[in-house]
Amino acid sequence: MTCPKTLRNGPCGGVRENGNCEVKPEMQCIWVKAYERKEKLPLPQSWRNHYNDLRPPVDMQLKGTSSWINLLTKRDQKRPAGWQASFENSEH
Amino acid sequence: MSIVREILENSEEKLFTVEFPEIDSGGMEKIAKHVARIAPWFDAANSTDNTAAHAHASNLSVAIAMKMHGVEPILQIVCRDKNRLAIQADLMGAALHGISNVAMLTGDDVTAGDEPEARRVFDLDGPQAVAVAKVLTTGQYLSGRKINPAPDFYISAVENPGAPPFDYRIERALKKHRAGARYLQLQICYHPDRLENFCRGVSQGAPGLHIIPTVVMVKNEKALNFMNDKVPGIDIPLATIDRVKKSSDPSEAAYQLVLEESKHALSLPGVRGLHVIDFRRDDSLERLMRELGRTPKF
Ligand code: SF4
Repeated sequence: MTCPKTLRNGPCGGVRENGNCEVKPEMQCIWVKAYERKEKLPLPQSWRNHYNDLRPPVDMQLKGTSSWINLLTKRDQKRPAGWQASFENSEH
Repeated sequence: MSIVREILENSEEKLFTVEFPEIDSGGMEKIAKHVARIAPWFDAANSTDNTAAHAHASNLSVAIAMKMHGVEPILQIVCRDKNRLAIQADLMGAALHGISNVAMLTGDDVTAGDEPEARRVFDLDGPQAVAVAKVLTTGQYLSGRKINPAPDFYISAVENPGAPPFDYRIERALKKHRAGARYLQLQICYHPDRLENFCRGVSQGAPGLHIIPTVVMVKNEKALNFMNDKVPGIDIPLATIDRVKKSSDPSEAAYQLVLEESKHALSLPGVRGLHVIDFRRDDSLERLMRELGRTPKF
């Protein structure tokens, strides 16, 4: 199950009154689900805070490539230069 | 120069903004007609971007037309129909025409509109779109390519205090503030308690982030039912709908509701003004403005 809008900084403003997704009414919003989990689980505060990180735009060139290799080679940490200059030190 | 920035950053005044009606036909005469109605009462008007996932005359074209008619535009840019190149192009087009107020939104899904078979884009989301506008003001595109001189945007975002998870809405607003938003225009909220909690939380977390709640002027309960059923993220309590429906004068009851909501919103911490969406399009817009203590500019 993924977010139909493919948001990296959800949940969007369309979440239904019952916590379900704007686009797929039968499905719980995945960002609501993740929020409830991080509130319930005994996680260190610093992990919880990651929920509210400002995550950068997705690199569409990575579509269809191995996420494991991209993780190992740090390819998935490459940011657009303009983004890096403005937001690199604040969050990742 | 942005009047919106001037009011929010350099004065104690309240900012009153209005949603400019979407344009499908009627040309510049139609623009002039809408301008004549709203200009005496509002500091700026939002030019929407395919609002409710329906195609209309484009956001930037209407913003330019408004500016030609002497109304300060707030250009909305939505992530649903445009990728990051198109969004940066909208922003730079705005700068070219001297439009500095930009409101960056995620946007409703295509399924909320009349062409649900369209491809949804969402290459960026709302917080990222705010950040991209901010990046341009540092004198570069997202790619790092230089822009000299840098455009000067006064950036806003939207948040929905009425959608779950309610506590997180405050955090998400602060995230948009960190990304570069200076003020928020809120989604319509028919739960006064949720609006109040949100405004309190935001004003404590980010005192510099100005809040502009939204009210909607409707004629009867049908419009309320429509919003409740069809507009993503809006929930209207049955008691509120009944109050209008069961009144002997539903139009007056609907007016009293919006007056009450407006006064309540303006009394909340962090609130620096009001955004009005007018579906009534009758003389009650003037009545509301006068009853909120506004005097016409001309
Ligand atoms: S409601 Fe949640 S899952 Fe559905 S589109 Fe919005 S953020 Fe994504």
